[in-house]
Amino acid sequence: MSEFWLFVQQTVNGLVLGSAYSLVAVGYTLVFGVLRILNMAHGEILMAGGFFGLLFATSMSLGLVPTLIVAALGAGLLGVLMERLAIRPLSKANHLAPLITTIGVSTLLQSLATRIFGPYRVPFPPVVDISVVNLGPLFLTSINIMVFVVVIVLVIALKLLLERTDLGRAIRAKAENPEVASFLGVNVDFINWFTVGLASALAGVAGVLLGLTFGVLSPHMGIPYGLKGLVTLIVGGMGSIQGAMVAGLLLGVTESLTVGYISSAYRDAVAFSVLIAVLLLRPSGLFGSKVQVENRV
Amino acid sequence: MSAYTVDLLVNAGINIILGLGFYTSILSGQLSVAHGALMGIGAYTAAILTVKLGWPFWPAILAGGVLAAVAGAAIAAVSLRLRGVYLAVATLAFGEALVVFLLNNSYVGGAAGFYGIPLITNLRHVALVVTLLVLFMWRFDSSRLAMAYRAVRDDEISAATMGINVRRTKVHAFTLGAFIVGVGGGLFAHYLGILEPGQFGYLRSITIMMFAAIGGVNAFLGPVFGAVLLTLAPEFLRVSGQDRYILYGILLVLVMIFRPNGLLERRSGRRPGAEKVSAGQTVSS
Repeated sequence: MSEFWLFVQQTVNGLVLGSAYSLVAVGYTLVFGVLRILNMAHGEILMAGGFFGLLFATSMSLGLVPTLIVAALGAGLLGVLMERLAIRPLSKANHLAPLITTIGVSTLLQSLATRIFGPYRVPFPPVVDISVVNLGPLFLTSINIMVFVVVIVLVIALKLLLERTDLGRAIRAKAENPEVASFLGVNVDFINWFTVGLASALAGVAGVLLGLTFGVLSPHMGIPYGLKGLVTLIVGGMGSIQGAMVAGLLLGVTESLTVGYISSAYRDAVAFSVLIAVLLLRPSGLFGSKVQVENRV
Repeated sequence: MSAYTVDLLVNAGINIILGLGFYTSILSGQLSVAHGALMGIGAYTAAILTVKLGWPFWPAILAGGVLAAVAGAAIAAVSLRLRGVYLAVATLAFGEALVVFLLNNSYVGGAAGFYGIPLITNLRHVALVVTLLVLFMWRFDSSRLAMAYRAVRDDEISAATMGINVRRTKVHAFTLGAFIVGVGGGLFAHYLGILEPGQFGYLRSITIMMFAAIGGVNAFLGPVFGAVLLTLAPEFLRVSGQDRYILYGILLVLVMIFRPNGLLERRSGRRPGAEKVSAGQTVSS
Protein backbone atom coordinates (compact mmCIF):
# COMPACT_ATOMS: atom_id res chain seq x y z
CA MET A 1 0.00 0.00 0.00
CA SER A 2 1.36 3.40 -0.90
CA GLU A 3 2.17 6.09 1.65
CA PHE A 4 -0.86 8.10 0.59
CA TRP A 5 -3.37 5.29 0.99
CA LEU A 6 -1.90 4.40 4.36
CA PHE A 7 -2.57 7.97 5.43
CA VAL A 8 -6.14 7.80 4.12
CA GLN A 9 -6.70 4.48 5.87
CA GLN A 10 -5.49 5.93 9.19
CA THR A 11 -7.74 8.94 8.71
CA VAL A 12 -10.76 6.75 8.04
CA ASN A 13 -10.03 4.63 11.13
CA GLY A 14 -9.76 7.85 13.10
CA LEU A 15 -13.12 9.09 11.80
CA VAL A 16 -14.81 5.89 12.98
CA LEU A 17 -13.30 6.09 16.46
CA GLY A 18 -13.91 9.83 16.55
CA SER A 19 -17.59 9.39 15.77
CA ALA A 20 -17.91 7.38 18.99
CA TYR A 21 -16.14 10.20 20.90
CA SER A 22 -18.61 12.63 19.35
CA LEU A 23 -21.57 10.66 20.61
CA VAL A 24 -20.13 10.71 24.14
CA ALA A 25 -19.41 14.44 23.95
CA VAL A 26 -22.89 15.26 22.64
CA GLY A 27 -24.29 13.77 25.86
CA TYR A 28 -21.98 15.91 27.99
CA THR A 29 -22.94 18.98 25.98
CA LEU A 30 -26.68 18.36 26.39
CA VAL A 31 -26.41 17.97 30.15
CA PHE A 32 -24.05 20.90 30.55
CA GLY A 33 -26.11 23.15 28.31
CA VAL A 34 -29.40 22.45 30.05
CA LEU A 35 -28.47 21.73 33.68
CA ARG A 36 -25.16 23.65 33.86
CA ILE A 37 -23.41 20.73 35.48
CA LEU A 38 -20.58 18.53 34.37
CA ASN A 39 -21.82 14.97 34.60
CA MET A 40 -18.76 13.04 35.77
CA ALA A 41 -20.72 9.77 35.69
CA HIS A 42 -21.27 9.99 31.92
CA GLY A 43 -18.43 7.56 31.16
CA GLU A 44 -19.73 5.01 33.66
CA ILE A 45 -23.24 5.27 32.22
CA LEU A 46 -21.67 4.49 28.84
CA MET A 47 -20.00 1.44 30.39
CA ALA A 48 -23.29 0.37 32.01
CA GLY A 49 -25.12 0.77 28.68
CA GLY A 50 -22.52 -1.46 27.06
CA PHE A 51 -23.10 -4.13 29.69
CA PHE A 52 -26.90 -3.89 29.37
CA GLY A 53 -26.43 -4.51 25.67
CA LEU A 54 -24.06 -7.38 26.35
CA LEU A 55 -26.42 -9.08 28.82
CA PHE A 56 -29.40 -8.96 26.50
CA ALA A 57 -27.43 -9.74 23.37
CA THR A 58 -26.01 -12.92 24.94
CA SER A 59 -29.09 -14.13 26.81
CA MET A 60 -31.64 -13.43 24.06
CA SER A 61 -29.31 -13.39 21.05
CA LEU A 62 -30.73 -10.11 19.84
CA GLY A 63 -29.68 -8.40 16.65
CA LEU A 64 -27.97 -5.04 16.38
CA VAL A 65 -30.94 -2.69 16.56
CA PRO A 66 -32.68 -4.39 19.52
CA THR A 67 -29.33 -4.48 21.37
CA LEU A 68 -28.86 -0.77 20.81
CA ILE A 69 -32.41 -0.06 21.99
CA VAL A 70 -31.98 -2.15 25.14
CA ALA A 71 -28.68 -0.40 25.91
CA ALA A 72 -30.23 3.03 25.32
CA LEU A 73 -33.23 2.24 27.54
CA GLY A 74 -31.10 0.79 30.33
CA ALA A 75 -28.60 3.63 30.32
CA GLY A 76 -31.37 6.21 29.93
CA LEU A 77 -33.19 4.81 32.95
CA LEU A 78 -29.96 4.94 34.93
CA GLY A 79 -29.54 8.57 33.92
CA VAL A 80 -33.08 9.47 34.99
CA LEU A 81 -32.52 7.75 38.35
CA MET A 82 -29.27 9.62 38.81
CA GLU A 83 -30.94 12.95 38.03
CA ARG A 84 -33.70 12.23 40.53
CA LEU A 85 -31.49 10.97 43.36
CA ALA A 86 -28.16 12.72 42.96
CA ILE A 87 -28.71 15.91 40.93
CA ARG A 88 -32.18 17.33 41.60
CA PRO A 89 -31.82 17.43 45.42
CA LEU A 90 -28.82 19.71 44.90
CA SER A 91 -30.37 22.33 42.66
CA LYS A 92 -29.87 24.98 45.36
CA ALA A 93 -26.39 23.94 46.49
CA ASN A 94 -23.04 25.33 45.37
CA HIS A 95 -21.73 24.38 41.94
CA LEU A 96 -19.20 21.92 43.36
CA ALA A 97 -21.89 19.72 44.91
CA PRO A 98 -23.44 18.14 41.76
CA LEU A 99 -19.94 17.58 40.38
CA ILE A 100 -19.10 15.59 43.51
CA THR A 101 -22.35 13.59 43.56
CA THR A 102 -21.89 12.55 39.94
CA ILE A 103 -18.37 11.46 40.86
CA GLY A 104 -20.00 9.46 43.65
CA VAL A 105 -22.39 7.86 41.15
CA SER A 106 -19.49 7.04 38.81
CA THR A 107 -17.53 5.36 41.63
CA LEU A 108 -20.64 3.42 42.60
CA LEU A 109 -21.42 2.21 39.07
CA GLN A 110 -17.83 1.21 38.40
CA SER A 111 -17.57 -0.76 41.65
CA LEU A 112 -20.92 -2.46 41.10
CA ALA A 113 -19.91 -3.45 37.58
CA THR A 114 -16.62 -4.84 38.89
CA ARG A 115 -18.55 -6.83 41.48
CA ILE A 116 -20.93 -8.29 38.93
CA PHE A 117 -18.65 -8.85 35.95
CA GLY A 118 -15.23 -9.10 37.61
CA PRO A 119 -12.34 -6.71 37.09
CA TYR A 120 -11.28 -8.18 33.73
CA ARG A 121 -12.37 -7.50 30.21
CA VAL A 122 -15.48 -9.30 29.03
CA PRO A 123 -15.83 -10.29 25.34
CA PHE A 124 -18.70 -8.59 23.55
CA PRO A 125 -20.85 -10.88 21.39
CA PRO A 126 -20.76 -10.07 17.67
CA VAL A 127 -24.36 -9.07 17.07
CA VAL A 128 -23.72 -8.28 13.42
CA ASP A 129 -22.02 -10.36 10.76
CA ILE A 130 -18.48 -9.17 10.54
CA SER A 131 -17.37 -8.83 6.99
CA VAL A 132 -14.58 -6.86 5.42
CA VAL A 133 -15.53 -4.28 2.85
CA ASN A 134 -12.91 -3.21 0.33
CA LEU A 135 -13.17 0.27 -1.09
CA GLY A 136 -10.32 0.34 -3.57
CA PRO A 137 -7.15 0.04 -1.53
CA LEU A 138 -8.99 0.89 1.70
CA PHE A 139 -10.55 -1.72 3.86
CA LEU A 140 -13.23 -1.34 6.48
CA THR A 141 -15.16 -3.85 8.53
CA SER A 142 -18.93 -3.87 8.53
CA ILE A 143 -18.75 -2.81 12.18
CA ASN A 144 -16.75 0.32 11.30
CA ILE A 145 -19.34 1.36 8.76
CA MET A 146 -22.22 0.59 11.08
CA VAL A 147 -20.72 2.61 13.96
CA PHE A 148 -20.29 5.62 11.73
CA VAL A 149 -23.80 5.36 10.29
CA VAL A 150 -25.45 4.91 13.70
CA VAL A 151 -23.67 7.97 15.12
CA ILE A 152 -24.54 10.17 12.15
CA VAL A 153 -28.18 9.08 12.22
CA LEU A 154 -28.46 9.71 15.97
CA VAL A 155 -26.82 13.13 15.84
CA ILE A 156 -29.07 14.23 12.97
CA ALA A 157 -32.11 12.90 14.85
CA LEU A 158 -31.02 14.84 17.92
CA LYS A 159 -30.56 18.04 15.92
CA LEU A 160 -34.06 17.61 14.46
CA LEU A 161 -35.53 16.94 17.90
CA LEU A 162 -33.93 20.09 19.32
CA GLU A 163 -34.74 22.37 16.41
CA ARG A 164 -38.03 21.17 14.96
CA THR A 165 -40.15 19.97 17.89
CA ASP A 166 -41.89 21.73 20.78
CA LEU A 167 -39.98 19.54 23.22
CA GLY A 168 -36.72 20.62 21.62
CA ARG A 169 -37.73 24.27 21.82
CA ALA A 170 -38.53 23.81 25.51
CA ILE A 171 -35.12 22.21 26.10
CA ARG A 172 -33.37 25.08 24.33
CA ALA A 173 -35.44 27.63 26.25
CA LYS A 174 -34.44 25.99 29.53
CA ALA A 175 -30.79 26.06 28.40
CA GLU A 176 -31.03 29.73 27.44
CA ASN A 177 -32.71 30.99 30.61
CA PRO A 178 -34.30 28.64 33.16
CA GLU A 179 -36.33 31.33 34.91
CA VAL A 180 -37.94 32.83 31.83
CA ALA A 181 -38.57 29.34 30.46
CA SER A 182 -40.45 28.37 33.58
CA PHE A 183 -42.51 31.62 33.44
CA LEU A 184 -43.50 30.63 29.93
CA GLY A 185 -44.81 27.28 31.10
CA VAL A 186 -41.84 24.99 30.51
CA ASN A 187 -41.82 22.19 33.09
CA VAL A 188 -38.23 22.61 34.19
CA ASP A 189 -38.06 19.43 36.28
CA PHE A 190 -39.31 17.39 33.34
CA ILE A 191 -36.79 18.97 30.98
CA ASN A 192 -33.98 18.21 33.42
CA TRP A 193 -34.67 14.53 33.82
CA PHE A 194 -35.53 14.10 30.17
CA THR A 195 -32.24 15.70 29.13
CA VAL A 196 -30.12 13.58 31.45
CA GLY A 197 -32.04 10.49 30.32
CA LEU A 198 -31.55 11.35 26.65
CA ALA A 199 -27.83 12.05 27.09
CA SER A 200 -27.44 8.80 29.01
CA ALA A 201 -29.30 6.84 26.33
CA LEU A 202 -26.85 8.19 23.73
CA ALA A 203 -23.96 7.17 26.01
CA GLY A 204 -25.48 3.67 26.29
CA VAL A 205 -25.53 3.38 22.49
CA ALA A 206 -21.90 4.56 22.42
CA GLY A 207 -21.06 1.84 24.96
CA VAL A 208 -22.42 -0.89 22.66
CA LEU A 209 -20.71 0.64 19.61
CA LEU A 210 -17.35 0.71 21.40
CA GLY A 211 -17.92 -2.83 22.66
CA LEU A 212 -18.53 -3.98 19.10
CA THR A 213 -15.57 -2.06 17.69
CA PHE A 214 -13.04 -3.45 20.14
CA GLY A 215 -14.83 -6.74 20.88
CA VAL A 216 -14.57 -6.28 24.66
CA LEU A 217 -16.10 -4.33 27.53
CA SER A 218 -14.53 -3.61 30.89
CA PRO A 219 -15.91 -2.11 34.12
CA HIS A 220 -13.08 0.41 33.92
CA MET A 221 -13.74 1.61 30.36
CA GLY A 222 -15.85 4.50 31.66
CA ILE A 223 -12.87 6.57 32.74
CA PRO A 224 -10.89 6.72 29.49
CA TYR A 225 -13.98 7.28 27.33
CA GLY A 226 -15.44 9.68 29.85
CA LEU A 227 -12.23 11.70 29.80
CA LYS A 228 -12.02 11.62 26.00
CA GLY A 229 -15.61 12.79 25.82
CA LEU A 230 -14.76 15.62 28.20
CA VAL A 231 -11.81 16.66 26.04
CA THR A 232 -14.09 16.61 23.00
CA LEU A 233 -16.65 18.70 24.84
CA ILE A 234 -14.17 21.44 25.71
CA VAL A 235 -12.42 21.43 22.33
CA GLY A 236 -15.76 21.70 20.55
CA GLY A 237 -17.11 24.35 22.89
CA MET A 238 -19.54 23.64 25.69
CA GLY A 239 -23.16 23.54 24.68
CA SER A 240 -22.49 23.17 20.96
CA ILE A 241 -23.60 19.96 19.24
CA GLN A 242 -21.83 20.71 15.95
CA GLY A 243 -18.75 21.54 17.98
CA ALA A 244 -18.87 18.20 19.79
CA MET A 245 -19.31 16.38 16.47
CA VAL A 246 -16.41 18.11 14.70
CA ALA A 247 -14.11 17.96 17.73
CA GLY A 248 -14.82 14.25 18.22
CA LEU A 249 -13.90 13.47 14.62
CA LEU A 250 -10.79 15.66 14.84
CA LEU A 251 -9.69 13.98 18.04
CA GLY A 252 -10.23 10.51 16.56
CA VAL A 253 -8.20 11.35 13.44
CA THR A 254 -5.40 12.98 15.45
CA GLU A 255 -5.14 9.94 17.69
CA SER A 256 -5.20 7.55 14.78
CA LEU A 257 -2.45 9.48 12.97
CA THR A 258 -0.37 9.59 16.16
CA VAL A 259 -0.64 5.84 16.50
CA GLY A 260 0.24 5.39 12.81
CA TYR A 261 3.15 7.81 12.56
CA ILE A 262 4.56 8.37 16.06
CA SER A 263 3.79 5.74 18.67
CA SER A 264 0.72 4.18 20.20
CA ALA A 265 2.18 5.01 23.63
CA TYR A 266 1.54 8.71 23.03
CA ARG A 267 -2.07 8.36 21.84
CA ASP A 268 -3.57 9.72 25.04
CA ALA A 269 -0.93 12.42 25.48
CA VAL A 270 -2.00 13.88 22.12
CA ALA A 271 -5.61 14.20 23.20
CA PHE A 272 -4.68 15.99 26.38
CA SER A 273 -2.08 18.22 24.73
CA VAL A 274 -4.65 19.31 22.15
CA LEU A 275 -7.02 20.09 25.00
CA ILE A 276 -4.46 22.19 26.87
CA ALA A 277 -3.61 24.09 23.68
CA VAL A 278 -7.27 24.80 22.92
CA LEU A 279 -7.99 25.92 26.48
CA LEU A 280 -5.06 28.30 26.47
CA LEU A 281 -5.60 29.75 23.01
CA ARG A 282 -9.37 29.69 22.75
CA PRO A 283 -11.02 28.77 26.07
CA SER A 284 -14.49 28.85 24.57
CA GLY A 285 -13.59 25.97 22.24
CA LEU A 286 -13.85 25.83 18.48
CA PHE A 287 -17.59 26.47 18.32
CA GLY A 288 -18.42 27.98 21.70
CA SER A 289 -19.21 31.62 22.32
CA LYS A 290 -17.04 33.75 24.58
CA VAL A 291 -20.02 34.72 26.71
CA GLN A 292 -20.36 31.14 27.90
CA VAL A 293 -16.86 31.06 29.32
CA GLU A 294 -17.19 34.40 31.01
CA ASN A 295 -20.59 33.99 32.57
CA ARG A 296 -21.78 30.49 32.77
CA VAL A 297 -19.23 28.66 34.82
CA MET B 1 0.66 -0.15 68.75
CA SER B 2 0.02 -2.96 66.34
CA ALA B 3 1.40 -2.78 62.83
CA TYR B 4 -2.18 -2.47 61.60
CA THR B 5 -2.87 0.62 63.72
CA VAL B 6 0.40 2.21 62.64
CA ASP B 7 -0.40 1.58 58.99
CA LEU B 8 -3.83 3.11 59.42
CA LEU B 9 -2.44 6.19 61.16
CA VAL B 10 0.30 6.71 58.56
CA ASN B 11 -2.29 6.51 55.78
CA ALA B 12 -4.60 8.88 57.62
CA GLY B 13 -1.69 11.30 58.16
CA ILE B 14 -0.64 11.26 54.50
CA ASN B 15 -4.27 11.76 53.49
CA ILE B 16 -4.56 14.76 55.84
CA ILE B 17 -1.53 16.31 54.12
CA LEU B 18 -3.06 15.68 50.69
CA GLY B 19 -6.43 17.06 51.77
CA LEU B 20 -4.84 20.25 53.10
CA GLY B 21 -2.94 20.63 49.81
CA PHE B 22 -6.27 20.62 48.00
CA TYR B 23 -7.74 23.00 50.56
CA THR B 24 -5.58 26.04 49.75
CA SER B 25 -6.42 25.90 46.05
CA ILE B 26 -10.15 25.42 46.57
CA LEU B 27 -10.12 28.19 49.20
CA SER B 28 -9.16 30.61 46.44
CA GLY B 29 -11.95 29.19 44.26
CA GLN B 30 -9.75 27.03 42.04
CA LEU B 31 -11.10 23.53 41.52
CA SER B 32 -8.04 21.42 40.75
CA VAL B 33 -8.05 17.92 39.30
CA ALA B 34 -4.25 17.99 39.02
CA HIS B 35 -3.46 17.38 42.67
CA GLY B 36 -2.94 13.65 42.11
CA ALA B 37 -0.32 14.49 39.49
CA LEU B 38 1.31 17.15 41.69
CA MET B 39 1.54 14.56 44.44
CA GLY B 40 3.13 12.26 41.84
CA ILE B 41 5.73 14.91 40.98
CA GLY B 42 6.65 15.14 44.67
CA ALA B 43 6.73 11.36 45.02
CA TYR B 44 8.87 10.70 41.92
CA THR B 45 11.24 13.60 42.65
CA ALA B 46 11.87 12.51 46.21
CA ALA B 47 12.31 8.89 45.12
CA ILE B 48 14.78 9.80 42.34
CA LEU B 49 16.79 11.89 44.78
CA THR B 50 17.10 9.20 47.44
CA VAL B 51 17.45 6.19 45.13
CA LYS B 52 19.50 7.51 42.22
CA LEU B 53 21.34 10.49 43.70
CA GLY B 54 21.77 9.29 47.27
CA TRP B 55 20.20 12.33 48.95
CA PRO B 56 19.16 12.07 52.60
CA PHE B 57 15.46 11.70 53.42
CA TRP B 58 14.31 15.17 54.52
CA PRO B 59 16.05 17.22 51.81
CA ALA B 60 14.60 14.84 49.21
CA ILE B 61 11.08 15.24 50.62
CA LEU B 62 11.44 19.04 50.64
CA ALA B 63 12.83 19.07 47.11
CA GLY B 64 9.82 16.99 46.01
CA GLY B 65 7.56 19.62 47.51
CA VAL B 66 9.47 22.43 45.81
CA LEU B 67 9.35 20.81 42.38
CA ALA B 68 5.62 20.12 42.77
CA ALA B 69 5.21 23.79 43.76
CA VAL B 70 7.04 24.91 40.60
CA ALA B 71 4.79 22.68 38.49
CA GLY B 72 1.74 23.97 40.36
CA ALA B 73 2.77 27.58 39.80
CA ALA B 74 3.22 26.88 36.09
CA ILE B 75 -0.20 25.22 35.79
CA ALA B 76 -1.88 28.05 37.70
CA ALA B 77 -0.10 30.75 35.70
CA VAL B 78 -1.08 29.36 32.31
CA SER B 79 -4.66 28.62 33.41
CA LEU B 80 -5.38 32.06 34.90
CA ARG B 81 -8.05 32.79 32.32
CA LEU B 82 -9.99 29.67 33.17
CA ARG B 83 -12.56 29.27 35.90
CA GLY B 84 -14.76 26.64 37.49
CA VAL B 85 -15.43 23.68 35.27
CA TYR B 86 -12.98 24.85 32.58
CA LEU B 87 -10.16 25.07 35.10
CA ALA B 88 -11.10 21.63 36.44
CA VAL B 89 -10.88 20.08 32.96
CA ALA B 90 -7.62 21.89 32.12
CA THR B 91 -5.97 20.71 35.33
CA LEU B 92 -7.28 17.23 34.63
CA ALA B 93 -5.56 17.35 31.24
CA PHE B 94 -2.27 18.41 32.80
CA GLY B 95 -2.55 15.52 35.25
CA GLU B 96 -3.30 12.93 32.59
CA ALA B 97 -0.52 14.25 30.35
CA LEU B 98 1.93 13.79 33.23
CA VAL B 99 0.78 10.20 33.74
CA VAL B 100 1.39 9.44 30.04
CA PHE B 101 4.84 11.05 30.32
CA LEU B 102 5.73 8.91 33.35
CA LEU B 103 4.39 5.78 31.66
CA ASN B 104 6.82 6.31 28.79
CA ASN B 105 9.83 7.40 30.82
CA SER B 106 12.19 4.46 31.31
CA TYR B 107 14.42 6.40 33.75
CA VAL B 108 11.70 6.05 36.41
CA GLY B 109 10.63 2.56 35.37
CA GLY B 110 7.81 3.56 33.00
CA ALA B 111 4.65 1.49 33.16
CA ALA B 112 6.38 -1.27 35.16
CA GLY B 113 6.80 1.11 38.08
CA PHE B 114 9.63 2.58 40.13
CA TYR B 115 10.90 -0.10 42.52
CA GLY B 116 13.37 -0.26 45.36
CA ILE B 117 12.58 3.01 47.11
CA PRO B 118 13.91 2.73 50.69
CA LEU B 119 11.13 2.37 53.26
CA ILE B 120 12.06 5.30 55.45
CA THR B 121 8.76 7.03 56.24
CA ASN B 122 7.41 6.02 59.63
CA LEU B 123 4.66 7.24 61.88
CA ARG B 124 6.90 9.80 63.59
CA HIS B 125 7.82 11.47 60.29
CA VAL B 126 4.19 11.68 59.23
CA ALA B 127 3.08 12.92 62.65
CA LEU B 128 5.77 15.61 62.57
CA VAL B 129 4.71 16.89 59.15
CA VAL B 130 1.01 16.77 60.03
CA THR B 131 1.63 18.67 63.28
CA LEU B 132 3.67 21.36 61.55
CA LEU B 133 1.10 21.65 58.80
CA VAL B 134 -1.85 21.86 61.18
CA LEU B 135 -0.07 24.56 63.22
CA PHE B 136 0.66 26.45 60.03
CA MET B 137 -2.94 26.12 58.85
CA TRP B 138 -4.23 27.22 62.24
CA ARG B 139 -2.37 30.51 61.85
CA PHE B 140 -2.96 30.71 58.13
CA ASP B 141 -6.74 30.20 58.23
CA SER B 142 -7.36 33.50 60.00
CA SER B 143 -4.55 35.40 58.25
CA ARG B 144 -5.02 38.23 55.80
CA LEU B 145 -3.72 35.94 53.09
CA ALA B 146 -6.47 33.37 53.65
CA MET B 147 -9.01 36.20 53.67
CA ALA B 148 -7.65 37.31 50.32
CA TYR B 149 -8.08 33.73 49.02
CA ARG B 150 -11.70 33.70 50.18
CA ALA B 151 -12.33 37.13 48.71
CA VAL B 152 -11.03 35.97 45.32
CA ARG B 153 -13.20 32.86 45.55
CA ASP B 154 -16.36 34.79 46.38
CA ASP B 155 -16.03 37.64 43.90
CA GLU B 156 -12.92 38.32 41.84
CA ILE B 157 -14.00 41.78 40.76
CA SER B 158 -14.80 42.99 44.27
CA ALA B 159 -11.56 41.46 45.52
CA ALA B 160 -9.62 43.37 42.86
CA THR B 161 -11.43 46.58 43.81
CA MET B 162 -10.31 46.09 47.39
CA GLY B 163 -6.71 46.06 46.23
CA ILE B 164 -6.12 42.32 46.11
CA ASN B 165 -3.91 41.16 43.27
CA VAL B 166 -6.22 38.42 41.98
CA ARG B 167 -3.75 36.79 39.62
CA ARG B 168 -0.97 36.65 42.18
CA THR B 169 -3.33 35.34 44.86
CA LYS B 170 -4.55 32.53 42.59
CA VAL B 171 -1.03 31.45 41.60
CA HIS B 172 0.05 31.70 45.23
CA ALA B 173 -2.81 29.52 46.46
CA PHE B 174 -2.19 26.86 43.84
CA THR B 175 1.57 26.87 44.46
CA LEU B 176 1.14 26.49 48.21
CA GLY B 177 -1.27 23.59 47.74
CA ALA B 178 1.09 21.95 45.23
CA PHE B 179 3.99 22.19 47.70
CA ILE B 180 1.91 20.51 50.40
CA VAL B 181 0.73 17.61 48.23
CA GLY B 182 4.31 17.30 46.87
CA VAL B 183 5.61 16.75 50.41
CA GLY B 184 2.76 14.27 50.98
CA GLY B 185 3.82 12.47 47.78
CA GLY B 186 7.43 12.18 48.98
CA LEU B 187 6.31 10.66 52.28
CA PHE B 188 3.99 8.33 50.39
CA ALA B 189 6.81 7.14 48.08
CA HIS B 190 9.09 6.27 51.00
CA TYR B 191 6.28 4.51 52.81
CA LEU B 192 5.11 2.32 49.95
CA GLY B 193 8.48 1.64 48.32
CA ILE B 194 6.93 1.31 44.84
CA LEU B 195 5.55 4.01 42.53
CA GLU B 196 3.40 3.44 39.46
CA PRO B 197 2.25 6.27 37.18
CA GLY B 198 -1.37 5.11 37.38
CA GLN B 199 -1.42 5.90 41.11
CA PHE B 200 -1.31 9.62 40.33
CA GLY B 201 -4.02 9.99 37.72
CA TYR B 202 -7.60 11.15 37.73
CA LEU B 203 -8.70 8.78 40.50
CA ARG B 204 -6.08 10.04 42.94
CA SER B 205 -7.10 13.64 42.28
CA ILE B 206 -10.74 12.72 42.85
CA THR B 207 -9.90 10.94 46.10
CA ILE B 208 -8.03 14.02 47.34
CA MET B 209 -10.97 16.20 46.34
CA MET B 210 -13.30 13.91 48.29
CA PHE B 211 -11.46 14.58 51.56
CA ALA B 212 -12.24 18.26 51.26
CA ALA B 213 -15.73 17.84 49.82
CA ILE B 214 -16.85 15.47 52.57
CA GLY B 215 -15.25 17.42 55.40
CA GLY B 216 -15.89 20.95 54.20
CA VAL B 217 -13.96 23.52 52.21
CA ASN B 218 -14.31 26.70 54.23
CA ALA B 219 -12.04 25.91 57.18
CA PHE B 220 -8.90 23.81 57.35
CA LEU B 221 -10.40 21.32 59.80
CA GLY B 222 -12.81 20.22 57.06
CA PRO B 223 -10.26 18.40 54.89
CA VAL B 224 -8.52 17.04 58.02
CA PHE B 225 -11.79 15.57 59.24
CA GLY B 226 -12.68 14.29 55.76
CA ALA B 227 -9.29 12.60 55.31
CA VAL B 228 -9.49 10.86 58.69
CA LEU B 229 -13.09 9.82 58.13
CA LEU B 230 -12.51 8.40 54.65
CA THR B 231 -9.40 6.53 55.82
CA LEU B 232 -10.94 5.05 58.95
CA ALA B 233 -14.61 4.54 58.05
CA PRO B 234 -14.03 1.60 55.66
CA GLU B 235 -11.90 -0.10 58.31
CA PHE B 236 -14.51 0.24 61.03
CA LEU B 237 -17.30 -0.81 58.71
CA ARG B 238 -15.27 -3.91 57.84
CA VAL B 239 -15.50 -3.46 54.13
CA SER B 240 -12.52 -3.89 51.90
CA GLY B 241 -11.30 -3.75 48.33
CA GLN B 242 -13.93 -2.96 45.75
CA ASP B 243 -16.74 -2.69 48.31
CA ARG B 244 -14.97 0.28 49.86
CA TYR B 245 -15.63 2.23 46.68
CA ILE B 246 -19.30 1.29 46.67
CA LEU B 247 -19.45 2.82 50.15
CA TYR B 248 -17.50 5.91 49.00
CA GLY B 249 -19.93 6.45 46.17
CA ILE B 250 -23.04 6.25 48.34
CA LEU B 251 -21.40 8.35 51.07
CA LEU B 252 -20.48 11.10 48.62
CA VAL B 253 -24.01 11.39 47.28
CA LEU B 254 -25.62 11.38 50.73
CA VAL B 255 -23.22 13.90 52.26
CA MET B 256 -23.67 16.27 49.32
CA ILE B 257 -27.46 16.05 49.52
CA PHE B 258 -27.70 16.67 53.26
CA ARG B 259 -24.61 18.81 53.84
CA PRO B 260 -23.65 20.29 50.44
CA ASN B 261 -20.83 22.31 51.99
CA GLY B 262 -19.33 19.38 53.87
CA LEU B 263 -19.93 17.75 57.22
CA LEU B 264 -18.14 20.41 59.25
CA GLU B 265 -19.84 23.46 57.74
CA ARG B 266 -22.21 25.27 60.05
CA ARG B 267 -24.30 26.89 57.34
CA SER B 268 -26.03 24.65 54.89
CA GLY B 269 -26.98 25.72 51.40
CA ARG B 270 -25.34 28.59 49.59
CA ARG B 271 -22.69 30.91 50.86
CA PRO B 272 -24.03 34.47 50.91
CA GLY B 273 -21.32 35.48 48.44
CA ALA B 274 -22.17 32.74 45.98
CA GLU B 275 -25.80 33.87 45.97
CA LYS B 276 -24.82 37.32 44.87
CA VAL B 277 -22.51 36.09 42.13
CA SER B 278 -25.10 33.80 40.61
CA ALA B 279 -27.73 36.53 40.63
CA GLY B 280 -25.32 38.71 38.65
CA GLN B 281 -24.71 35.89 36.22
CA THR B 282 -28.40 35.45 35.51
CA VAL B 283 -28.70 39.10 34.60
CA SER B 284 -25.67 39.21 32.35
CA SER B 285 -26.10 35.94 30.47
